Amino acid sequence: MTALAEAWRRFWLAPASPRPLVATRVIVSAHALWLALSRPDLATVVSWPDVFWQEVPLGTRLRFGLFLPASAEAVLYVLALVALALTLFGVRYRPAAAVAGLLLYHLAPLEEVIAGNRALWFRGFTLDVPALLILAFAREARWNDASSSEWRWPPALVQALFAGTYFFSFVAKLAVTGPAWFTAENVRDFAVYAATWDAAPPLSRWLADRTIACAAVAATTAIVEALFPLVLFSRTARLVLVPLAAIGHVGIAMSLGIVFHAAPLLLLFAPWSREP
Amino acid sequence: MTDLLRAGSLAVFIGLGLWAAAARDESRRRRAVSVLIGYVLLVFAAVAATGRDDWPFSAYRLYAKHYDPTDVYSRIEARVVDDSGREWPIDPYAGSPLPHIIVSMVLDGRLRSLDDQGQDRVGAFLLARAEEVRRRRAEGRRASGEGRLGPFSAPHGILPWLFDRAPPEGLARPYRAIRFYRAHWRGVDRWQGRPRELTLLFEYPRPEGAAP
Repeated sequence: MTALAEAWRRFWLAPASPRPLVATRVIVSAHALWLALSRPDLATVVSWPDVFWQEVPLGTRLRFGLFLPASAEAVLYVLALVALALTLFGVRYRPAAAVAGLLLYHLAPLEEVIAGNRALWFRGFTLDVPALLILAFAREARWNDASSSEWRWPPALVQALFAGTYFFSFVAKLAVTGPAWFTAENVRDFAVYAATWDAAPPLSRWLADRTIACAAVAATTAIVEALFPLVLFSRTARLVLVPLAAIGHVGIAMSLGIVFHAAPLLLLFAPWSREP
Repeated sequence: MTDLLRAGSLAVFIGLGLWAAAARDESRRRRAVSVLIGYVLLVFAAVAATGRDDWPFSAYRLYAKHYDPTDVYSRIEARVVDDSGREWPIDPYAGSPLPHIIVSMVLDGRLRSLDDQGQDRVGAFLLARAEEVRRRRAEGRRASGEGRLGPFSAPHGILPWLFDRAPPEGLARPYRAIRFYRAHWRGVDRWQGRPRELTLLFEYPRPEGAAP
């Protein structure tokens, strides 16, 4: 038990440079700002006709606070942009990050909530919301501050959440489809399916026609997703898995047409300090 | 009830975070931080193990299923009609900020359950949105839903350029009607270049003489 507690302390609470925490703040807030500016009409969804909102359960509305008129939502959207900009530039960033995290928790569902419970994925803000709140709970760090245990746990927790994106995606594939998901045949079928949109993604036919390429994609997906938590502990794992994941996201967009909005957050694993 | 429990799980996260933030004494703060971290990891693991989403803690089940190309797939497809009677694909940003494919999912759910008047309200709304996007594009501007960052805006989850949009001649004349089709297809058929099968569900405004 003592050894476990010591390992826990060493991983989460060891003295660390403030730079990964500062980098986490900049990367997460810039990412959320990028997404928010890319969805300027997010707040207008509340003014869509009632027929679109009829099947949104009352509990879902309560959970996300979706009762305000469009004019109020527009104000909240602007407020979220301001809070994200303050967080990005480090101006009173702890309260700003708290406001931004809470407002994104409220605003992000507008992108999909009227599709009912079938589509609660909220396009890209999934990691930003808890990460912004974690930044708000942490002590305020500046680039040249001295090492402290206060600087270790916030970026490590955000990284752990992001690593979970891959690992739990691996678990979900095993649970839903089983090991057969990670076969050349499944990847080929996926590429064929992707080619059935109005236009095929540029590499879908190329991929589907090559069994070896499909097998490589299947194996790489299994390796990256299953082993990604290792990046939390090993510099070597970061050097291998983070670039592989980045290449994978480009490949997925080109062959399957699917955009993983959180992909820029791979920058969280760049070597922002000399510590592992 | 489930939604409120999910809201509660976020509230606990925030409560533990505030406890950690407020702790002044170092040992208390370490304990509070450890409880916060343990809680986050526990919630995340529970969500993954059960497959039940607790956004922003997600089970990441997207694309976890197998897409069999011999299965028959179906979605709602909207097309617009200009004042010369020519039909064009609806712009993938007409339903923005909802991604095009989500609009299709919404329509799939709603159109089944709505009466004619409800369907007409959906039709009128989307027709007005499609016409607004057409006007902007005809003037050489981007659709408002394409973001404030020009080409650097984040695309929707499925690349929007994989969906048909009207060519320049399809932007020249105002849209006067919108048609909703159910599209069926099999991956293997589309792979061989066969079109989707379209079945007209309804048109708005209803053509003269059509049943209300």
